Amino acid sequence: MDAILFKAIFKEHYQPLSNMAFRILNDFAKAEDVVQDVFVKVWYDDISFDDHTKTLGYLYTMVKNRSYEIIRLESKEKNIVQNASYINKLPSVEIDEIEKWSLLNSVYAHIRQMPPKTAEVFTEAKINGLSYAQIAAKLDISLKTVEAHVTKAYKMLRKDLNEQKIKVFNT
Amino acid sequence: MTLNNKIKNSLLTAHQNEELEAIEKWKKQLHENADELVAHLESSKITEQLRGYQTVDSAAAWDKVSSRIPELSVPDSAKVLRPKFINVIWKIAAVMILVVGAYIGFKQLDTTSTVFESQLVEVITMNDGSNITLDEGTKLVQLADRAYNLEGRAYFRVAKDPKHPFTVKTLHGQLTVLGTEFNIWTTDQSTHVAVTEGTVRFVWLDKEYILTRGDVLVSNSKGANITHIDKMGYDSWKDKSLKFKDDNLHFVLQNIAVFYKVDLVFSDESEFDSCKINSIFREETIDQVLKELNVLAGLDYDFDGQTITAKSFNCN
Repeated sequence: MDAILFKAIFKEHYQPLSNMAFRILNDFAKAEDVVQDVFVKVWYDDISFDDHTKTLGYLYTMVKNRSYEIIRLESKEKNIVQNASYINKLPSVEIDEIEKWSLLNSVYAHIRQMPPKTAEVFTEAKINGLSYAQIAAKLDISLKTVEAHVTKAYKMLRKDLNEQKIKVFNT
Repeated sequence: MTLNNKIKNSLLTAHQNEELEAIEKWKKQLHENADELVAHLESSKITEQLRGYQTVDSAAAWDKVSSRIPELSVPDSAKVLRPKFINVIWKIAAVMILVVGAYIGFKQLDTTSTVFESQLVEVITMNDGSNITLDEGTKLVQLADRAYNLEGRAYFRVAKDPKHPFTVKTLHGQLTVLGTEFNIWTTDQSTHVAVTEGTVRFVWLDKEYILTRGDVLVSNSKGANITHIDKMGYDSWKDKSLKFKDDNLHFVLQNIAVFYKVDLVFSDESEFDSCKINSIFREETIDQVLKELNVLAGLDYDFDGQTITAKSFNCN
């Protein structure tokens, strides 16, 4: 694979990949190790496909598989009974899932650029799953204000995603 | 300009217009898609998967990764490319070329040209976003931003840029495109071009040919000929290569399943195994690969064309 392409993929996908691995491993240090190992392996094994989505699929699949492998090995040591639902079918990552992680990554980045109160309300509502009433009580604001923040947040997201997508297309 | 050429030129412009219209349409769809995306976010609980999401230090991570890969520490401007980067040697090569006399059609190359030579199937992405897959033993010389010489076989996916035509020169003709996909391969006696998408203008011996999807052109010292094929099987070579080094069987099978787009099932809850597979599979069908694994790792399997069922194996 081309060194420039490799770096570009790393820059764009390192964060979503690490967070995906984190959801399986529950440990960021381990998650980052896995992702870094996979990138190094992809380089040395000269893995690359003409179809870019195939390359990404391969990357995400490897990270996922390795993460599960680590869980399995660790739980073997601890003699924990495993939920075997993922074992027999190959967990290969479809393009939808890659797009989901990319999207989540974008949303996360955009939230951090919102005004603090809006970001806070949106996080409590849409990430932490609190009800509007609970948020109003917790933050000592009116229900209407909570709704207004959430609406504003979605508006900002829509605008940002629009611009982002079109910028991506133009490169 | 003859009438024929005028017509052909206006056809090309019509295609250009079609392409530009298609781009505008797609832009509009993306616009609508972003709205759909947010609507999807609003109505679903996807954002809850952001719980625990963290920013990681990608820059620090990149430092760690590039410290494990020496080639990455070279600055981008040096254009290091695996497996080979030849630039200084070009001066000597230029002299040899004149002596051999086989490259009469080529421009005199200066020392700032970049030469790509592939030992394996290799994909290169250029500055303009174009994607070129080189077959083994192919030599691609970059003359300028969207201008190349080719000896060997390559598959081009050219980034659309109506303002800057993309050209490829071969011993038997030169082609120009605006943005499209095509296969070229050259021998000492001929050049073959097969167009997968878009429009290609090919010039040879003062004649101009316009090729579109499904057209195949063959040119030699006497002239050029166009035929048409229905199935674009010309580019199947570029994908068929898998390399394994000390990898266990589970890993190998998973890769094969992804590569050949089939399903994979392990019929027992076998653990990750201690096999060590060292193989390169090139230009092989999946049946051939599975048979080899049967030999290498005693793999007992079923394959019905869509699903591999791995039953047992035996590595010692």
